[in-house]
Amino acid sequence: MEGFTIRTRPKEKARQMHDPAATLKLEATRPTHPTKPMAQGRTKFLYPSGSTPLEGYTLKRGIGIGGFGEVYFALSDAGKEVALKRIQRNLDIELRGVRQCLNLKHVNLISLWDIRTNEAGESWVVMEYVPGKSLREMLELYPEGLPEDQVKIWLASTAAGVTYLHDHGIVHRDLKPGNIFCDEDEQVIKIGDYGLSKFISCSRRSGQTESVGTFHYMAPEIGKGVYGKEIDIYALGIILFEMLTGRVPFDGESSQEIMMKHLTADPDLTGLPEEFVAPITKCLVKDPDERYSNVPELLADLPWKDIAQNSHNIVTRHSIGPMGAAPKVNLVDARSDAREVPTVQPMLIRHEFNKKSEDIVFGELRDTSPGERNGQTIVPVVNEVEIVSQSAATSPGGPNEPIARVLHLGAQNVGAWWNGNTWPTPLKIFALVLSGVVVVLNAKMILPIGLGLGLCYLVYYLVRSWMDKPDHVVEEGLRKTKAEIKQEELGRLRAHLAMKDFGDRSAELLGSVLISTVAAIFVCSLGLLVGGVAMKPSIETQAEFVWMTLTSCIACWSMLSFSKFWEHRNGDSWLRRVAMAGIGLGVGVFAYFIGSVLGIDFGALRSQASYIGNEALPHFSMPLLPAYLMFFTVLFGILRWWKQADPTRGTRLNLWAVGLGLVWAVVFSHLLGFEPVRNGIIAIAVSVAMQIAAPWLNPQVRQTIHRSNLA
Amino acid sequence: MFDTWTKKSNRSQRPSPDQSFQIWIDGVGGYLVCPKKSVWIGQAIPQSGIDIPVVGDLRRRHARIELREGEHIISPAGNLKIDGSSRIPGWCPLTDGQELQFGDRVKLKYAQPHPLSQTARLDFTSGNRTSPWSDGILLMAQTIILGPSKRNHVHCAGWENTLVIFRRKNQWMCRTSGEFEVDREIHREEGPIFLDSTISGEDFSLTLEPVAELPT
Repeated sequence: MEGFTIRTRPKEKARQMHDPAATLKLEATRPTHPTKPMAQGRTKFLYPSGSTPLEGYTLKRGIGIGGFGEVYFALSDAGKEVALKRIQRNLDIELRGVRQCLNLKHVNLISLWDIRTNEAGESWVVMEYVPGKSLREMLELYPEGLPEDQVKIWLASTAAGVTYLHDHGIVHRDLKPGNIFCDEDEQVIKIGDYGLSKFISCSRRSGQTESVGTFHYMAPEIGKGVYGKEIDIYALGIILFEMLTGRVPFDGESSQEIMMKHLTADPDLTGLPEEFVAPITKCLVKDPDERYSNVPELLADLPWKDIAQNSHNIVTRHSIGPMGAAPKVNLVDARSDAREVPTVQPMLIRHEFNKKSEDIVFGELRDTSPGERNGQTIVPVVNEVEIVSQSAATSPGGPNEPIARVLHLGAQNVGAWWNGNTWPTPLKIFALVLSGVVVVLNAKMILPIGLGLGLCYLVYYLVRSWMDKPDHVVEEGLRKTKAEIKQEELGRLRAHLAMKDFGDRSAELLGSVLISTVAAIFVCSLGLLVGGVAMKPSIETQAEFVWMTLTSCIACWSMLSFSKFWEHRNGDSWLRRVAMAGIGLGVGVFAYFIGSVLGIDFGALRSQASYIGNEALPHFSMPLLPAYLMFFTVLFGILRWWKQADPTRGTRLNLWAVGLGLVWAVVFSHLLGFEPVRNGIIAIAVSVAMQIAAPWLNPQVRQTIHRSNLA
Repeated sequence: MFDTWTKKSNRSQRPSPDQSFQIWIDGVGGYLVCPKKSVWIGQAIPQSGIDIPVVGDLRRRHARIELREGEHIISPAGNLKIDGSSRIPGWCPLTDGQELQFGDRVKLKYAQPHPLSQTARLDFTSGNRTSPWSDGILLMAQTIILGPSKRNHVHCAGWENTLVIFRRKNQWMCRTSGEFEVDREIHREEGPIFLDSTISGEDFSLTLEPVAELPT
């Protein structure tokens, strides 16, 4: 309501009359501030809270009063929040405008849902309730004008709504800041009162609902009864001017003075930024034929180049993407802009016939997947970083070198198959151990071939690198961007893990220790069986089994413990290697002494180094204890074992990590003169048991974390 | 149509002075008033007994706010950030202007607008809302002051005078300048009100409504 008072007759009398409409007498008053349109005046509503004048709805409070009648906030019997607008007069011609607008749908228009008539013959418009400030209230918060980024959003959203109305043959006729609202729930700007504007304009002319405020936005031709869409252009020009400067271009002490200025005076555009002078001047020309003939023309002349010529394509930050995904900027309180609010996942729908024009999107937008819907192309809106990341993803993945890329893709496929197949875990472990043993048993053949191929590839790679320098900076950029995105995701997961307290971690660790013990026992038994070591059960074999199991368990427990308390930080890789080497040293000491206690003949085992028949290969001789210490220290220090217990690891059971551990165990065993089977089994047992036992954030959990971050 | 005037039927049984209620102020807004010294904020789930039921991603009982020796103390039961900091001990006193973040998303601004009143106001800054709807939450200490000043607990632009709602022993009272009506009875300066009263004056009208349990 803008600057007028409604006086009611004594309520008792009104009640007896049962003619609420008859009890109202509207009377013009002067605003409290003569040079500014009023935002709010005294309000006295006919119906108190709790009334049910329209069946199915309970009024909660009055929202405002306009020339057309009162607006209430109400709840339907089912609990739906609505705004109920009581039409004071009930002429068909007045309701015709509302009916015409009932089925309009636009994100920047307040939805009209129904027109209902009660027993007393009153007509009510049931419409969307918009919680939030009006542009009028915003202008009061910013008496010197709104910040330009907000002006742009308010104007573009209003322009989109007005364009939609014009396209449907409707002229708003009463555009003013008091009729434009920011929905705080959806963070969307909506225009109200469009269906009733003719009524308002008529009644205004009849003098019943005069207020100084509403005259500030009235085009001069309205006095002659001319209602073209140019009057909305005129009003938009004044609203834009007011948003930029905080004042209106035609001001006065009375409605007559203001109307006279609209008719005769040149607008006072002092204080307006230079680039807006020409478009606003053109909006405010007295002759409607000389104004912009439509909203897109006006937008094209504004200095905001991101607002394209065609406002059909203006998409506010709010008209896109899932509801509830909040935009970055709080339209109501710009002072809180610094707050970090998750981003929107928007999707624009662009008509096929209009592909060439650019969509205009406000707000920070993120990636969505492209697709087709109802003959319309759904165009993902991506920001620069993600365009780059998508390109990186669609370009040959991983390394740029062809052989490495093929191997990388092959490895990815095998990994995907391994992780995606439905084999039971014991079968997977069996296959793993079997593969390990096959590798160990054929090490004589595999090692030289592998080393030879590796050497050839190294030479090839060096030559290729020398001849083929990185040719684009963009490629660097791609990798960097991809890495950054991966790092961001990792950061989110780490933040999630950091929310655990000491108790949660300890409980998880205890569970992991128990599972790893069972897994280590299983893998060691399987290893001994498959490796042929336990084909002849004996006291010695049992002792060896116990030794391997205990050694694996101790290694597992130690690494799980460290990893558990590292899981929420990335940490320094080398420091962690040192810590792992320390664990290896401890495990080596333990393995040696527990082996001595169990009566294992390490000397005999060592002499079996010829088991793999590789005497020809070089190896070092050293005393038994130092050799054991060195074996475990180097094995644990050279690989990033903690990654196998990291909940953010790519897969729960990584075949390559197991294989790598096995390979290094075999290599070091040989170099230090041990027979490799037992040490290889220990390496497999540690790797498998640790990966099975350590918690893992599966894709569903990661997606949930990602969504909760976005929300 | 006017059945609201006959709704004040059974008042012999006075409601608890700690019962929450809603104030519906014409032309201004609707506010949830929590007169209890200790209130729980949590997710709006039917029959959860939460004083401030929020439609949002937070725990069923996320935090408790207590009025202790003139200060509001918050004790989190779920993730809580105050002005972006998550290092909250077991409890923490609140000060004017702080932003409270419950869980990942729900944010409320805490304000004590009136310098002489310990009553505080919570406003959503995250687009969430209470159920049923309210424009703000008033954690009532002794009084609620409605009026034209921005330092009032509820800023009612266009009003000439302030209106104070307070408790005297177990009776809710209302005080303002001049004459005003409470449920059609004329009072001057001060008068008793009930949790379903309609209070109106020359330039204002408001109605109280006891808060019902969330529908199942």
